[in-house]
Amino acid sequence: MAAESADAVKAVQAITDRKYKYGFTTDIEADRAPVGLNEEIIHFISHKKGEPSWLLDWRLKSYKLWVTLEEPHHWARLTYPPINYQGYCYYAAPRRSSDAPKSLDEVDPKLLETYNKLGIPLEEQVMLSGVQQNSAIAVDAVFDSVSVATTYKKNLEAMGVIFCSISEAVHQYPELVRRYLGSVVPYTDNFFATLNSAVFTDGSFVYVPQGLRCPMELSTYFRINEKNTGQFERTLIIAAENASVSYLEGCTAPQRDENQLHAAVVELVALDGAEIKYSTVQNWYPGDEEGRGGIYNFVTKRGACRGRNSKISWTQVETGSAITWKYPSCILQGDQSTGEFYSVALTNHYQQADTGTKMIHIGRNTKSRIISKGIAAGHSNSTYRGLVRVLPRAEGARNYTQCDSLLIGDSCGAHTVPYIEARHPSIRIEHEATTGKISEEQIFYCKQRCLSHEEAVALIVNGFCREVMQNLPMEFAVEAQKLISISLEGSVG
Amino acid sequence: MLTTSFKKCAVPSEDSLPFLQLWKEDKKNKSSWVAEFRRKGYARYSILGGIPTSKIESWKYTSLKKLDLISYKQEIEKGILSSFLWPSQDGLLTIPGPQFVLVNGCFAPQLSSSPLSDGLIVQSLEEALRYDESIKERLLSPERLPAMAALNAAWLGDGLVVRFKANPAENNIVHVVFVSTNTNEKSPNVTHPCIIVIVEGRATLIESHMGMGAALTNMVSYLYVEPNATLTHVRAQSGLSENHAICSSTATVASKGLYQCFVLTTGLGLVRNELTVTLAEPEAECRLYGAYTADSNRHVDNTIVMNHIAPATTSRQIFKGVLADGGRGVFQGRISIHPQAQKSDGHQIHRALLLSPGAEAYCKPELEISADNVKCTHGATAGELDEEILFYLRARGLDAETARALLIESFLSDVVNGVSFGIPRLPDVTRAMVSVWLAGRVPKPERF
Amino acid sequence: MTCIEIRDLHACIDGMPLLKGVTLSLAAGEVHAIMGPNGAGKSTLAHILAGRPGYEVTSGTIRYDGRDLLIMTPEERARTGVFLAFQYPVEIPGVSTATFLKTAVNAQRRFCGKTEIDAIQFSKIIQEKAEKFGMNHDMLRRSLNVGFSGGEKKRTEILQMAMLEPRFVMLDETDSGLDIDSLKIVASGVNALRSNERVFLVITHYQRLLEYIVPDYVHVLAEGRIVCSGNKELAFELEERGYAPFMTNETTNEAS
Repeated sequence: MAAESADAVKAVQAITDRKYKYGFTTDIEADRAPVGLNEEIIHFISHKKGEPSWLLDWRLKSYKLWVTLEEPHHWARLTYPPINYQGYCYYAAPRRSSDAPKSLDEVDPKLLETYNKLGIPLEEQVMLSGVQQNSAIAVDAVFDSVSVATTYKKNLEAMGVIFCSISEAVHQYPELVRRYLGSVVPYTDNFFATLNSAVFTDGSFVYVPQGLRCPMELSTYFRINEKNTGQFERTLIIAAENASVSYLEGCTAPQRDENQLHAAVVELVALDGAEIKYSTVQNWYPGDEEGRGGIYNFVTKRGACRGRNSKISWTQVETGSAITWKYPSCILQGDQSTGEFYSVALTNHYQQADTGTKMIHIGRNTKSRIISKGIAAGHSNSTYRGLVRVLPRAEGARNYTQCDSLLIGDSCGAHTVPYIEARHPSIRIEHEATTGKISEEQIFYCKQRCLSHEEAVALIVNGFCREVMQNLPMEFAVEAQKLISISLEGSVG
Repeated sequence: MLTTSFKKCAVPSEDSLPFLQLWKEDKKNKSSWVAEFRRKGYARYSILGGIPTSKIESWKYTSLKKLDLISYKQEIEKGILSSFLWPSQDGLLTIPGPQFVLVNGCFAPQLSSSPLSDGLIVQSLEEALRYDESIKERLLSPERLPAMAALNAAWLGDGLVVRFKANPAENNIVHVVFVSTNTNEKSPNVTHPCIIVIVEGRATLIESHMGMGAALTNMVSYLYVEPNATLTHVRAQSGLSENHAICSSTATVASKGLYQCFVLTTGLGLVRNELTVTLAEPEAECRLYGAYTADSNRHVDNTIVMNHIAPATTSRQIFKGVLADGGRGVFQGRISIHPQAQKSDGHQIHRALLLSPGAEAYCKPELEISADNVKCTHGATAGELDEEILFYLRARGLDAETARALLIESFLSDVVNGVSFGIPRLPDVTRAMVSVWLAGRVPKPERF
Repeated sequence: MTCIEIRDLHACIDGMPLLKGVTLSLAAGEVHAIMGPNGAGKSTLAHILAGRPGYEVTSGTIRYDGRDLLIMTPEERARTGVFLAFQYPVEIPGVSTATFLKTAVNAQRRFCGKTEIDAIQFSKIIQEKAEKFGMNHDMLRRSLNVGFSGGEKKRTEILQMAMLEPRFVMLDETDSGLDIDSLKIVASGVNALRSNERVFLVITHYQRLLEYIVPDYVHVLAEGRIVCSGNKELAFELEERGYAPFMTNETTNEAS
């Protein structure tokens, strides 16, 4: 029996020892800010982007606050050496002749090649009416600190959808940006969000006008390329009354020995009857088998269901990063609004993930649903940390939470830390959590049905994650399943 | 008697010189071991920042601010002991068994049963510390204690040591009664009793808390369940809301031992039951049951840490709380499975019933799993009475108030009626405690 | 032609002997039934044939079409046609019966150097077969065995058998917990697969199943050995007389 379970662990390791496919670097000349962070750097970034003074002021205000803050490491279940914030470069952009490429044809072919290699084609398919449109995805490609290309912009514009880099939005739609930037995640929110507010370089901006169901999936693809570069993107998505949009986010980084820093902020605003679906497949470089290198991923994501009957749904598949610190949350202000959080977090080797959500019920009859699946292998630790808070006015609030953890091998840890705060009698909160491993019975049964150990594990793990995966848009589900199938060569997919 | 006779500054602060002065005086008279233990306790308490605030994770939902502990004093009036009137023999005390009484944390032999009987030895802590070196090892080193237990250590004085000898056939039942008195109307009294229980056979410990006048009992207990032994522990907390209890217990269960505990809280003002169970050796087992009710700004906190250290250990926890107008319930329960604890099995359930506006339930169940071949689950719910069932009952002719009472009793029943541990009359007593609470509540007609 | 040749098989689990010299020869085209009292080692035999970990074969051999079965991994055995219908089929949450079977069938096809079947083709084939066993589309979409009734689980096992078209089929107490309708469906599934190429080993406690799956041979396994072999009449005899006559006194005393 012992030999068998040792076997099982070995087989699992074989699968989970996936090669990181996106570890290459692109050799491209870059414009870089000097290493380190001070007020000058902030002026530098703001100047590079030709920003209005209100934004520079906001950045400086954030910076001044940030230097007084302490990094929050007492409560998260993460251990890592102190981060030297002065050791990073806060601005790196591929050098180009003109300020911005006017069309995709002007984008550096090296960049196009990079994104092709990553499986993100930056070409637009010829748009036909009807069916063809639905299968297309508009992409905003962010390379280090800047957005290098946004596809289908024109087509979207024609429908009234704004989809561009946030830098561009600052210039083109200043009133919208000014109104919503920092309105969900204020610059005072937390250490990393404050840092982001000071130094954010690019990111995506989406505005879907009243009554429109955005017919295309929108997506941003983040790539950290330069050495010692932090990526601090800022994404802002607004769905006006009765609008709806589905947004996807993907990320990769080259394989490097040192730890790179990623501290993003994502803000979502859903007005009356609006619906935002935000999906992430996070595949930053996780570090090697010894735990060397990998991305430190400290992300603040929050959505405000401001309007009645609005809905925000987060789906995340987290397989990358050395450190993940991320709690996509919903503030359910509008009556009858709904928040959802579907998460798969898979850690291996020495990865650490502390992730979960906050559902803040403020409005009446607000509903939330949390489905979290954590898988830990190797020497990794995976923690679910979640808060369900029902405030005294939130009559009729409902929450359902299910957290399951799967341990693969005996050197890893899976932890569940939910906080439940109920302050109104007419509510219903249900929370369930389980932890276990793949049983020998299941493995033997699969083997008796012709599957190899690898295939059996892949199948069982994918089954374990199904409730989450089925919330991903088709295009992403396939990629995510491949990732979860733990880039298991020659298995299910 | 080794008792603290100081009258002031029951909760020392960094600059409470008289307190430190007393220590020095103490040192002259007392064994240096006790003085050193106290010093360490106070050092620990200071390092942890004194009275816990909500900034400390494990006190996130329980604030001691309202108690204004600084105003408390410590009182040992021997005169009171003689004039002390025994409360009516009701509730748990009707269960047969010898009774041992602690008045303001000091063992009162004149109010207690004979300390020696078959398979049972009871001593005051002071006496035990003096004559039995080994008992010192049963106290946890102050460096490892949380704040309130460290404060208790800083005031280490008297308490009780109860030893149950191996008696596999018989289930010894022992009552420990905590009485706090207060002669001074102006400032509440605080006591720091400490009890040690060592079980080699099968034993039942019944713990009652009674307050006369405003007081806080800051109690610490160390429970040792030796190999193959069983300790059944019942704690009942009822009484006026000017009485508060902070009980920090540490249970260590050895190979194939069983620790089972039922905590019922239907009274007192602020209650914090902090229980750390260590399943230290293979096949150790723990079962915890808790039921509590809170209303009118009362606050009940059950904080459990279940440490599975050894392989094949098992734990079960069921806690239920009923909260109404201004009542606050807190449940924090961590199941921690250490890497060596393969084949362990831990389950935990907490359910809170909120009856009316102003009621609050805070729940933080936690799983900390570092072994793969384990089964571990927790579940938590919070919600109101099922309106449909209420309607059904009313359609059968029950008035709203009776129907609600019935449903509340039914909600608590699997704990309150279900847990008897084979102790005669226990379910009757606990049921009665719940009924008393229900009867004392103002019905909530506005929703009908 | 002999398909399975078991010679003097001894096996134990955690040092406790379970099989004490089983010798059995199964030829293609035959249906063998193994009957015996509880704890006789019937399921042990099936599990060892399927390669379940945890058992230790202390002596004896098993040849499968001339190959040494004992050195083959469980999945190799399965891919070359060894099929065990489990007494207690295992639940796999989140994996639909259809997905599971598609993965299994394609794993087998890859092994045999055949091309994989695509999703559309597969769903056609599986639905056709499923209908035969009274399983609707919904059942194929539900997570494998999760929340299935006893009958549904056993039908799913038979569906899997039909999809994998094994050479050597073992039915481990497939009749236990089955209502008569399910029993008939299971039996007809098995009978439909009977051919000159296949061997069936039917493990059962009761004679009832054998009314529907008529065996060529019946063996009695008791105390880790085959104590008696005969034709289908033996099953009726057992039904009437029980297993007691086949037991040594020692065991019967223990049982009483």
